[in-house]
Amino acid sequence: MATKPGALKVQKSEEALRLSPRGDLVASTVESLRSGMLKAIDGAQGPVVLDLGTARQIDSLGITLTLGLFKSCQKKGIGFSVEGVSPDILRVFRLFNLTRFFPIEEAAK
Amino acid sequence: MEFEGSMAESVFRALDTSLVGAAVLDAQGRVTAANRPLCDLLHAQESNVLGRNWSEFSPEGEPFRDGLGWATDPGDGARVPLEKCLRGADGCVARVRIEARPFRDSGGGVGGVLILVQDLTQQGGTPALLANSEERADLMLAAVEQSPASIVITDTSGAIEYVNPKFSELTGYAPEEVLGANPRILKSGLQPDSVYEELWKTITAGGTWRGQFSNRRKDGTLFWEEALIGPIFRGGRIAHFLAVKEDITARRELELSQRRLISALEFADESVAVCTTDGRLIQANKAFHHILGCECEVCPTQGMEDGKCRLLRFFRGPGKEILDAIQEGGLTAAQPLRLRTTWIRNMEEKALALAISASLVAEPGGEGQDLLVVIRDVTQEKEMEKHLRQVEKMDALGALAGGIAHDFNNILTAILSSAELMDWKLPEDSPLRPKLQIILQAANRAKELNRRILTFSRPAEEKRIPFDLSAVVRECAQLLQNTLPRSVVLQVNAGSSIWTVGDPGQVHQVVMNLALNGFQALSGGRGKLEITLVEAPSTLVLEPSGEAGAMCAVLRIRDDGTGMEEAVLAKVFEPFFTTKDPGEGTGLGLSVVHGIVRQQGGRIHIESAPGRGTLVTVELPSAAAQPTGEKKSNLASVQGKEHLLVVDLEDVRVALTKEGLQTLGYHVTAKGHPREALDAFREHPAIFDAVILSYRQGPIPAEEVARSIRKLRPRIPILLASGSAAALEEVGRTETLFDRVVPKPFGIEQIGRALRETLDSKAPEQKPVLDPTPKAGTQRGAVLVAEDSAVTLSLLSSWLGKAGFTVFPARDGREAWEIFTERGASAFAMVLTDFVMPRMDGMQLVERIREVDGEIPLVLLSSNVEKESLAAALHLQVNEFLAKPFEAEALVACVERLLSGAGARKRSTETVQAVRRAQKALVAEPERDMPIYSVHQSLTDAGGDVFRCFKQADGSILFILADVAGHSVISSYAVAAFLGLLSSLVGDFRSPLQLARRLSRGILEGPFSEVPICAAIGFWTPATGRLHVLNAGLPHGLISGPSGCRRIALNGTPLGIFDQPLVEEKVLMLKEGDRILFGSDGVFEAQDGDGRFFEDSAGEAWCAVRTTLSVDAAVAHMADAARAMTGGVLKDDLLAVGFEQPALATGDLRVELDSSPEAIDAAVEQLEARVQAGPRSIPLTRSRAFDILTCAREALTNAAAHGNAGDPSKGIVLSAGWSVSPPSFRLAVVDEGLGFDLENLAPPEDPLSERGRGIPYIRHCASRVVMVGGELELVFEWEA
Repeated sequence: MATKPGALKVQKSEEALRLSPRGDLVASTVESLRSGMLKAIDGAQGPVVLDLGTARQIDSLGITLTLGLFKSCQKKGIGFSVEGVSPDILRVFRLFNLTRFFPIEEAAK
Repeated sequence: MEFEGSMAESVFRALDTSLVGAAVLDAQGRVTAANRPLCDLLHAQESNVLGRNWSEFSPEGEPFRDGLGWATDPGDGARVPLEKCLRGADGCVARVRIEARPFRDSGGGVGGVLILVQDLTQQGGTPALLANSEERADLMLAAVEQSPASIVITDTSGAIEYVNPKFSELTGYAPEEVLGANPRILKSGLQPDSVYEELWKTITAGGTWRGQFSNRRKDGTLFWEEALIGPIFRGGRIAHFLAVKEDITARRELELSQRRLISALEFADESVAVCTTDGRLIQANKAFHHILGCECEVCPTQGMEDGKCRLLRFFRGPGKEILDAIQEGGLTAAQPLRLRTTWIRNMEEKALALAISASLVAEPGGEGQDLLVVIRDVTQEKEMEKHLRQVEKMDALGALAGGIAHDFNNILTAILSSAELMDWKLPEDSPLRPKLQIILQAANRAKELNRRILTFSRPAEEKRIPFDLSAVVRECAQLLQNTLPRSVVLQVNAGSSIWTVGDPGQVHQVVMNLALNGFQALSGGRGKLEITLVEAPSTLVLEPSGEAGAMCAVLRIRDDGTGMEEAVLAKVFEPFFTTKDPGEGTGLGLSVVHGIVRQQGGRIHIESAPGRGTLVTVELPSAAAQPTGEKKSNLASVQGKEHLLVVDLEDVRVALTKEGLQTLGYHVTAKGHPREALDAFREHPAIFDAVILSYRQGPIPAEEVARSIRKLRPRIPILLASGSAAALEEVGRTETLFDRVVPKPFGIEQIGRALRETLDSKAPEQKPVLDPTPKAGTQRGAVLVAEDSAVTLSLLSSWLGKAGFTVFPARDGREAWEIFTERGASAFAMVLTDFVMPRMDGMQLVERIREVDGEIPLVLLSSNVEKESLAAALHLQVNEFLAKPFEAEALVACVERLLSGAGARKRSTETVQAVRRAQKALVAEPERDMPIYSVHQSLTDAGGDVFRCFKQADGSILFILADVAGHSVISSYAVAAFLGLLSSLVGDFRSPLQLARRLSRGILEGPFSEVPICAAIGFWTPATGRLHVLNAGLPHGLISGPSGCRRIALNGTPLGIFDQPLVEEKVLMLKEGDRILFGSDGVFEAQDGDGRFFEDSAGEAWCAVRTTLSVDAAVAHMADAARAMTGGVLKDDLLAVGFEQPALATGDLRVELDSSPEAIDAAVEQLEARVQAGPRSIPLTRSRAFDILTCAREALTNAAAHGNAGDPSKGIVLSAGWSVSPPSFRLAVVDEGLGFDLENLAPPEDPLSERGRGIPYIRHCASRVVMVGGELELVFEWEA
């Protein structure tokens, strides 16, 4: 069964806590994702990875959510990174200079 | 060639610069001239050669004739050159070849010899130059040809045979042009023929002529030559004439220039001297010698004793600073020095003020510097300055004294009046009478003293009246007695009643000046001063009789003081001459006395001698004695029964005057305020027989009060009482407002007498039975003026009164309303009212007056009034505005215009109609061809509402509803101006806001800027349903759709208030079938007793007719409903405009959504499909598509969260579409908000901020971003 947009997949491993939202990070999804993601980070001991491999779009609310996750990790003293971003979403992150604060890895082509 | 002596000199001069040695010897062999080559050859300076005998240069000492082989007769003189040795000054011997040329003297005898010497030593052998005659000729020719002098040889008739190159260079004539011609070709004609005759006579007699020529070159220019012309003898006869000439043009001009300069300096007032830098005189002009008293042409300071050379004293005294400055380097050629004004005493021991300046100038040779000193005598300027300061001081003192005297007069008036009243009322045997007499006498003395102070304080104009000179002398004596010390014995014998004609004040000054001069001349301030006045035959010639011996008034003032030297006596009448130390006297006293006496037609004479005192005699023309004007107290003659209006601010005075005049039998109405007096007079103008005003009337000047009174009673006697001399003069100068001016202080008897005389002298006046209501033909109309400023009210009354209007003044709106209602509207032709007033302001007054009279012209006087208030006033049909401050002419013109009668009123109506007709022609494209409907009904023909709409090329419709304030002629003109402006601006329409701004600016800069205009501007695109509306003060709009009716709520200020109107805009995306209704105040402010149309029923009505009536019928229905609400009586213009949104065009994407995130997702999904379906011609990349969709998301999210405030039920409309030309994608998101200012949104400074990224991201991606009235429009462009 296909996962609905806005669904969140949380994977814990020894290396990191991987958060993989389903679909775009936009106004219609961020609210439902926010609480799940923050809850997951709350219990994290190691670095957190936001996997945006399925996101085609991100809007300013999605950026805000990402920043919120980063700040939560920073507060806990654990690492935060974003992976699997499309080239266009990477452009957006770069536009707002977010690559200065946490690693953002483009999706493999 | 044989020479005459001076010719030999000329030839020598010609050879002066040649390489051949040359000398001129006299008959005894003494050297009279030697050139440089010869001097060099002899190793000697020229001075060591001249005067020596030629034989001294012979090593063997042979006689010079032998040495030269010179025969006795010049005609037979040796021609053969001789080789000889010459011994130089240092003993050296040179071998030379000598050729001697004897010449004759002017008497034909042997004059001397010209010798040519060639050094053979350096040639190492016998030179070839002078070896034969041909060579000698060559040498001579070369010498002449190369001569720096111009040489001309003529034959005996004067025909030119030879000219040298210098001649050609100087004159411009080539030799061939002048050979055979007479030298007169050079004549300028500026010299008399006698010069040439003398020349010819001299040279033909064998003599030499020396002189200067003014000649003319070939090109016509003038030049000057110094010439030496003489004969050349051959065989004892004159064979030729030789002229050797030197160009002296430059030298002459220099000399001329110097002469001019020297002449100018000689005549200059300034003293100029050129000195050495150590202060010795080189040259000075006469003024310099005079001012310093120097008598030396050339400075003899060297060797002179100190104190004898004036120049030396100067440079050790006031000029020391100059020499010091030179020493210290503070005075250079580039930095002149100006000393501060210095006082010195000249030779005559006269004190002089000098302005001294100095500068250094280079000496002619440039080897050193001379000191140039310029001295200017500024004594008179300094004296004048001092005098002016004194005059200013005296003026100030005079003004002060005058002011004090004025107040003192007021006090004295009260004292005198009271004392007189007591005098009249006390019983004859009252024990208080002696005391009362003392009071009266003291008050009269004080009155007299005050009069003198006033006379002193003001510079009275010269008068020429008969007056008692003896009284003036006695008055002066009294003053002197009070001021001179006891050590001075003052003896006065002024006689009795000696009359003269003139100005008593000025003669008073003469007596005082002379007496004080006499006192100052007394040694140690002790002595005798004697003043006598007698009538006696004139010993001097007096005007107007012009004869000595006529009877005159002789005033003598004698002192036994120090007396004067004859030299001083000669100058005593000169202005600024004083024997006092600088700063102690102006030197003007006696010169002023002298001037006054002459002005009076008299003469003055002074006798004085050192140690014998001074006698000054003044003779003035006699005049017949005049009646003294003194009247004995006769109360009966000053009594009366007339009714008087007495006005004085001072309660005590007004009460005393009232009581006193009542005692004399008059009926007195006394008022302490001019306004009260005017009110009383206006109330009953006919009852008064005379008015007595005091000069200082407080808020209203006496002149204004008098004018107002004269408006009602032009011939009523008005007396002015004043204690101010200046005021009396001022009043006297202005106009004949007052029948009589009574100077304060006065007693009751005095004022009674003045009053009685005035009343009796005036012809009985036919008193009007005066009613303020104007009578036809006598007045131009009655004007009610409401103004709370007393000054302004007085001015307005005065101006209008002067223009012939009857003015009813009111101090505020309530008083005006009371007057208006009391007298009835028909009593007034018009009303003028101020805006802001206590109790009832102008607007309230206008409103009340309009309720009872819709016709009477109303003028609002405004100052800094809000435009909204003006607009409201216009709605109340105020006819005119007058902005304060305004001139009398403007006020009268305005009133006349409004009161110019029925004809003018008719013309006004015609004007309005013409303006109306013109309005229709102003707009090219009326609204009838467009799907927009209007109903318009005017309240009046003037001003009112306007509706215009214009169709754009793309089918969009621009429409404007405007409500022009007021219904006056001005409003009509404002309508026309507005429409004209609109017509010119719509051609360049870009947006409602741009149009509103330009209209506003146009109104402000136009001729009717005082008329604001409320407007609603709409820009409707029926194809898309986009309606962009802007409100500038006309906020009444409704939109009705299937879901109901709502207001279009917008705020705004009328156009013409601000350059940049403050308005709200809104973009509405209409759906098919939506109906819009706009209306003016006439629609939406229509009201009955229970409510307002717009508030209560308009929405429901507009909604109700949506499905039952066509839009045009629905608009008419709404207008009818509004009319019905007012009971059929319009309160304002009625204008209703409506239209209905037709079916939308299908070309572009149009998504109507609510504000939920899910709806946004769905809209973006639809948009993505439209984006991807773009034209092939436009290269759409994945990234570009991403940008468009992300921006659309941001815009929609922004609309939901901010425009619609997160209310999910509020709608959003997304519209988008491609455009091929230019290649672009347009996207618009419209919410229900009013939008925001994009310009104020900047990206967050904190990169970790969780807010504020949406709009910056849109700006980054889109080519153009515009936010207007809830619509965010984005355009993405591609390069074509």
